[in-house]
Formats: sequence, C-alpha cells, structure tokens
Amino acid sequence: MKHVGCFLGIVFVTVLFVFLVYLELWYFDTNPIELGNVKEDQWLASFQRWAFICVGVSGFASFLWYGLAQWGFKINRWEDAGKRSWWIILFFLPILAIILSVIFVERAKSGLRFEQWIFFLINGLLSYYLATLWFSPSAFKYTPAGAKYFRHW
Amino acid sequence: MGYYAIGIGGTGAKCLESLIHLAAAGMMPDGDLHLLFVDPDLANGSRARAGETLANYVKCEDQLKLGKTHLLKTKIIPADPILWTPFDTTNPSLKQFFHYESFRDSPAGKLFDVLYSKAEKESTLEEGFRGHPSIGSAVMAKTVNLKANPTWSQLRAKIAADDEGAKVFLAGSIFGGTGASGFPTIAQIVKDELDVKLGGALLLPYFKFMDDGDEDKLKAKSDEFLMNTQTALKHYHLWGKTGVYDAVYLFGDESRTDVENALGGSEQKNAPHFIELYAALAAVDFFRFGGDFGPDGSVQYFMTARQDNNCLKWTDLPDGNNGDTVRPRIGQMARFAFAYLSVYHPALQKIANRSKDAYRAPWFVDFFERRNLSINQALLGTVEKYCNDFLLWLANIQGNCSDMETIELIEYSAYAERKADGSLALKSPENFSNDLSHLIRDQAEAESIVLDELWERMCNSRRKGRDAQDIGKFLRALYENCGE
Repeated sequence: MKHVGCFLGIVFVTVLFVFLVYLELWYFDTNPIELGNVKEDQWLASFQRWAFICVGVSGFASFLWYGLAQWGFKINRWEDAGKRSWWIILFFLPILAIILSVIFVERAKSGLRFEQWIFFLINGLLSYYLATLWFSPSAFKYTPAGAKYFRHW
Repeated sequence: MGYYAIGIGGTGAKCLESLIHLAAAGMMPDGDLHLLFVDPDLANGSRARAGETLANYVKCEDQLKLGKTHLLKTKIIPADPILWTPFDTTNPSLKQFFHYESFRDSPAGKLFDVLYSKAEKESTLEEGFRGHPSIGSAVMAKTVNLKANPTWSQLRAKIAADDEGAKVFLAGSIFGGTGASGFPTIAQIVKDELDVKLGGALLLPYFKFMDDGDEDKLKAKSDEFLMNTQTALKHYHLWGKTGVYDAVYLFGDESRTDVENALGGSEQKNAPHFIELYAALAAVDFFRFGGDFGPDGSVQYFMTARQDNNCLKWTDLPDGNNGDTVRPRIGQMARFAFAYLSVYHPALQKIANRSKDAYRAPWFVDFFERRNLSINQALLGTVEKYCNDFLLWLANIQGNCSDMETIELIEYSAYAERKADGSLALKSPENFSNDLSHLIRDQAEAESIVLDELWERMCNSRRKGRDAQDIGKFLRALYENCGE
C-alpha cells in the first residue's frame, strides 16, 4: 500500500509537469518568439516533444530511484545508508534529456531565450527533484537535498 | 506488590543475573524488584559480573523514559549496599570468628573440635566457605540479623511496609558452601520474623571442576558435589528445612559443564549457564503465581523436564506456555541488543562526529533532530554496556554446556566467538553478522526480521511510543520494531 501511494505520488508529480508543459506552450503562444528559418508551429511542436521527453525521463529517473532505494539497496550497516551519490547520478538522466533538448530544439534568437532555458530546466530537473523529495522510500526519505525540511511523513 | 530476590553465594548471584535479564525482557509481573547479594567472598567474580549487570540495568531504567513497554519494565532496587557479607572488614578464620580460644577447653570447645576439622577452623573465610556448608551455616546463623544489621533491617522495613504482601525468593546452590548454608538459614530467619510468601530455587550440581588437584587446600571439590547434595537433601527432608518455604524449585543437570576450579575471589567467575535461566524463570513463576496455591499450607515442589534429555529447546523452558512466552520476549530483547550494537549505536556515533550526515538516518532526523534532542553519549554508552551484558549472557546460555548436550536456543555465532581459552566473547560490532533473522532458533515467522527491514520500520516509527520521552522514544521504537 505504501509503495502504491509513492508510485501514485510520482505519477502525480509527473502528470503535473505534463500540464506545466501545456502552460509553457500557452506562454510561448501568447509571447511571440523571434525564430530563424523555423516556423513557429514547427518550433512549438518540437519544444513540446522535447519537453515531454524531459518530463518522461524525469519520471523514469524517479521510479528508478525508488526501485533502487527500495529493493536494490540493503541497509545492514551505517555505511549502506544515505546513497545520495546515487540520487545525484540519476539526476544525469534528466540532465541528458535537457542537453538533447537544447541541441535539437532551435533556440529563440531573442526575447524569450531566458524563459526557454528555464522551462527546459524545470521540465527536466524540478520534476525529478520534487518527485523524489516527496516520494522516496522511507529508508531514504531525506536523501534528496532539502528533504528534511519539506517532507514530514 | 514488591518482589524481593536474594542471591546467596556465587551461584545465587548468577541466578539473579539471569533474573535481571529476564526483567529487562519484560518477563517480570508488575511491581518493583528488590535485590540483595549474600556472599562472604567480597571479590567473587561471578557476583561482581552480576553486580555490573545490575548497575547497568539500573542506570538505564532510571534514566530512560520508555513509557509503558516490556523493555526494562521492572524497576529494580538494589539493597544498600547491594552485597551483604557476614564479616566486617576483617577476614577471620572460623576459630577467630567464634573466639574459639576462649572456650576451647570447655565442652562447647570439644564439640567444636568434633564438628570442624583443623583445616576448617584455621582457613580464612574471605573467599567464602569453600564448599563447606557446615562452616557457613554456623556463620550465617550467627550474623544474619534482620533487626540489628543495617542491610537486613532496611530490607525488613521495606517488606514490612509492603501492604500488598511481599514475596521473597532465595536462590543458591545446594552443593557448595555459601548457598547451601544460607538457603535454609536465611529462609528460617526471614520466615520467623516476617509474614511473607517465601520461594526458593535450590540448584543441584550442574557443573564440575576441570582440575580438582591440590587436594590439600580447603575448597569445593566436584567429586563431593553429589554426596553433599544427597546429604543436604536428606537433611532438609529430615528436619523439614524447606518447610519454611511456600514453593521450592530444584534444578540440576546430569551432564555437568566443566568450569575452572577457582578457590574464590575474582578468579571465581563462572560463565552463565542455562540452569540459572531456569532458576530465574522459577523466580518469575513464583512472583507471578507462587504462594497463591497450597491452601493446606504445604510447601509446593515443582518439577519440569526436557523432551530430549540431551537437548534443550525453547519449548523446554517452563513459562507455562510451552516456551511461547519466553522465546518471543528474550528473542525481542536479543534482536534489540543486536541491532543497537551493530547498527544504531555506531550510526549515532558517526552522526555525533559529523552532523551533516544525519540525513542518512531518517530515524535520527525524526527522533533526535526534529525534537532538538542531542546525542547523550553517556546514556547511550550505558545502554551499549547493558546490551553487551545481555548478548554475552545469552551466548553463554547457549554455548556454555557439556559436550553431551545440545542447546538449540540461539545462533550466537552471529555476534560472539569462542576465544582460545574456551570462553565466549562478543565480536566487535562491525563483525556482527548482517543476518538478524536467524538469531533466534525455532522462532515464529512473524518474529523474524532482517536489519534492512528494521531500518525501514524505524524510519516510519516517529509516532510510536507516545508516552515515552527523549532518547527513550527512540529506544522504545527500536525495541518494538524488533518484536512481531
């Protein structure tokens, strides 16, 4: 039951970020972007695809962390506890997705360049961070940085 | 209701040592337990070890606010001082003690000569009565005074003030010196002066000395144990010496364990033995039920037996429930001590040295950090000492038996090892096994737990033990998570 709750929590956070992608698209729709040779519709479709990939990879990384922490790591000694390095390593999955997004989605030439970057980072990193912050297995519940202050169950 | 247990001699002290551990595991009925050791041998190693265990228990029980739980449930109140000796500061010989020179030519002196050999008269008694109850009985009868002696008068006052009716339990061996002489003598004096329910564990031979050489010395000799026992039992029977008791429990073991033959003092430090666990269970049984039956006033004698003469299992332990009470209780305490020593105490030390690592132990954040509770090294150290005492005692209960017997209670190799001299010692915590699930043999599936699962339970336990406080809250959660 506890695992189901955490799985649903991770799914909830991931779905939340899927909705966020639509908000980002709406934001770009209402704030014109100066693009090069690419049409705005094509660019938005490309952004949407890569934003979903970032969110999906983050969700996958969150589940991977949960699975590893719950069933992969056995805490029989103090040395086995924590595993923050593993949590950080899994961050590289969304980071990789962000890098690919940056490569494959044409960057805005002006105006919204900053927002574009921010959205990539949010889609990729924040969803992994929040999903693991709130829904890590209890034996590793404070491993995500700052979890001690935000998780109270 | 107050319970009073008096350990007479080295064996009696070892019985109380087992009783302390049973109290720690929550096996005693509700009420305070008062303890007193009786031994002329001030430096007796077995008694000293029991005294250390008692001191650690009392410190833990006093300082930990554990709330309502089985762990350290019983308040143990040691007598002040905890050890009563019939001698003052001097270590007299028997003839000095009775001022033999002043009456040697009288008929009483002649009788004295008949009753005691030259060696018995002249040996000093600082290391006990050396297996000679004839010496001990005379000394005990002369010195145990419930009114004049401060230790005894204090005990007497406490018992007299107990409105609900106190129960007094004596434990000692029948085949040695101190126990054999004190068991009937002290019982008679207590019964004559106080209205109490009186129970006793009388230990028949269950060990023998490896080397009984040096025949010249006046000391206990295991060749004489059976004969001493036979004579003593016959004496008790003929003179109705156990008649003062409401309940008497007798124990012995045919397959006697080898122990070093020490004259006395610190060298007489015999490892705990399962017979002493039986005696402690007898005390628990007496405190719980004893004295409530036998309306005709007759003394109750109890009998128990093992299913297999050469094998001891949990189901053989008399707890009135086919071992199903004693196994879970001792098992839970053992898992608690094991987990505390191998994982939780070292973790607390690491966090004390490097507080930014606290996130690695969510239970630490929940029980300590969020409650602004600092790591009390002294208190945690005392808990560590008690856990050491408990696990070593349990390892000996399992491992200290004759080659003819098999004991199937625990797997002590998970945390203890045999040294070159044959004694058992705890491994260092980092060498404890990772497998906690097989520590207790024949346990129910629900009692089995692995360290990893325990860690997870601890991380979900911040609401456990609402009536416990401070570090007690954490230890209570650890203890309860080690149960079913």
